[in-house]
Amino acid sequence: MKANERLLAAIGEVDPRFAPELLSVKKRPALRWAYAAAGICAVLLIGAAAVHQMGIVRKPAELLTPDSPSSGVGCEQPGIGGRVGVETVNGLPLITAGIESGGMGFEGMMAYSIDELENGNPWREIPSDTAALPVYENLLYDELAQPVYYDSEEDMRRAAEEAAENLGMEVLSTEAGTIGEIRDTTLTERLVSLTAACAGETGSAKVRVSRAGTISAELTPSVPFETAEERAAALGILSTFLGYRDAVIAESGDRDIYGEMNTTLKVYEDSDDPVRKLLNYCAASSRLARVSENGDGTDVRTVWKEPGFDGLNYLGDYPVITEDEARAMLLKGEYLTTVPADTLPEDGITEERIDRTELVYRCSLRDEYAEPYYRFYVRLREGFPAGAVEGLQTWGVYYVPAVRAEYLAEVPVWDGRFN
Amino acid sequence: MEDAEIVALYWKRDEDALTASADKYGSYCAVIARNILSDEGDAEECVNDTWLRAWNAIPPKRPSRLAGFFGAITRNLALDRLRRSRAARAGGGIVTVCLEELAEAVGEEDGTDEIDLRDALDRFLGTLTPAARDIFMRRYWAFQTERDIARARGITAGAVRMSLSRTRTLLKRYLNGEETGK
Repeated sequence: MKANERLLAAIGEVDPRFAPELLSVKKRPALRWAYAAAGICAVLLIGAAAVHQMGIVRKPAELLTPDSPSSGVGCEQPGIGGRVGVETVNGLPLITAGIESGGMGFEGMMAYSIDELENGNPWREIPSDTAALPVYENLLYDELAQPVYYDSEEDMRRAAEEAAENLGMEVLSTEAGTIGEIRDTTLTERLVSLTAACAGETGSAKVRVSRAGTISAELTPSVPFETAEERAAALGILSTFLGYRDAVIAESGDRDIYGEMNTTLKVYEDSDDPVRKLLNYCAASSRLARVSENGDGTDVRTVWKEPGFDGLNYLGDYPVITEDEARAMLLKGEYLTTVPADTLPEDGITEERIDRTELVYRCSLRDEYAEPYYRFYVRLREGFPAGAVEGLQTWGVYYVPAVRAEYLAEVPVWDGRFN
Repeated sequence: MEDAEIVALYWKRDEDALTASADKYGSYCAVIARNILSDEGDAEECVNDTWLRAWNAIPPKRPSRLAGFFGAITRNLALDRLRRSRAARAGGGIVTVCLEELAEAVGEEDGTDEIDLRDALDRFLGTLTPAARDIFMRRYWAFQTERDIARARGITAGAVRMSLSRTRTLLKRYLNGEETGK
């Protein structure tokens, strides 16, 4: 028996007086606001490495969204996800703020100038005196790294058929994707995706529906996406698939240590409501991938559509701090980051090193709540990282929760360790 | 019925002990069984088997706190059933996650020393704050998810995660012979 198995068995044999009370609900203890410290890690963060499973997933029709009559931006009756025993402040459930590090590395961006890191974030359209912003519970968040949006293969098949129909195609065949898991010496297969071969008059597509709710379509032939006219035509084709009436393109990118620019294309639904527009940009955007087999392709080959608001449950509009207040907190060291402390100069974060600010919603599967953060780009010390071509500069990303501290139950402290 | 009265029924070999146990602790044990086994029928069988195991154990045992005594039996029965299961159940996921987390404290290599883990754990648990101990036991004794623990204690899942991480670090130090603090 392995040591951890022996420990688990031994825990079952401890003094019965230590057994927990499982059938009662305790009250929340007093609030605590903890400040994060800069972490110590090694290499650049490359996206989230793990995702989480949710034991309870509600159907989209049951969700509270900003579009439903009983909830949304400015709504007075927030939904709290059916939770009991959750303490509220002014009628709003307490939430947490935190960064889940998805892998070895930190969030940093390289470019020759800060202007190259423009990303199309529409947050400046929100009036600076906005006092409250919506917060959502991430229904797909869970700790077991197996997010479930579709309950069954049949649900995934229906989603694939709908996607094909939106592309003007029909499903010709499907194939379930599974991964093997060894549990207690028994190999079992777990359904993780369904891939559908589709075809229509205009071409063919490989539609892939993941268990976690992402639907992608790999298009043949690819869609020209270089000139303004081509982009407009492409968005016309893709908008039906994405469900957008008025799509906006947001292009962003940063450079690698050799100076090569890597760009990302996002598409989201425009809105007259600037808050809703930011939410669409952060929480409900889709990604486009260019043709890659021939180097820097100009055509779009693949489009990804995420669950968006179907995976989020509106909690309420939370009072927020201003940009200036967030900046002051950053300078006092009250922030969340994965950036190593030794990448900053000796005097740490100073006003002149803050080159860019934006408001974002962190909405990955590793975030328990979709909530607003001020995101600061801080210029790291010159010469970091070693080996980068001359003239490149690295900006570290630092977050300050926008929700006022009294609504935050706790901010986990990043202690700089990797397990 | 008080625990002592139920234990007395067992000692008298009165089969009402089984009914009384199921009435008072059936739900408690079912929570543990369901956390480990996703199949409702399997979980129910484990709970039913718990009373029979207890019948065979009392006497000679005279447990002072039946929740822990019955819960431990259910836990072991459910883990045994999970190990024997031909098809790993979805509920096995939480056990796997717990094992991975505990590997942080003791690793996965076969232990060669003769540390009496159970006694060491009893001593270690006695050093923890009640809150940290409760969270630790909910996780590794009753196999509750972080979210369930958070809801039960009225705190956030992040706070549960931090508490578990801290306690595992303390446990690692303790098992390595270092001092631990509350």
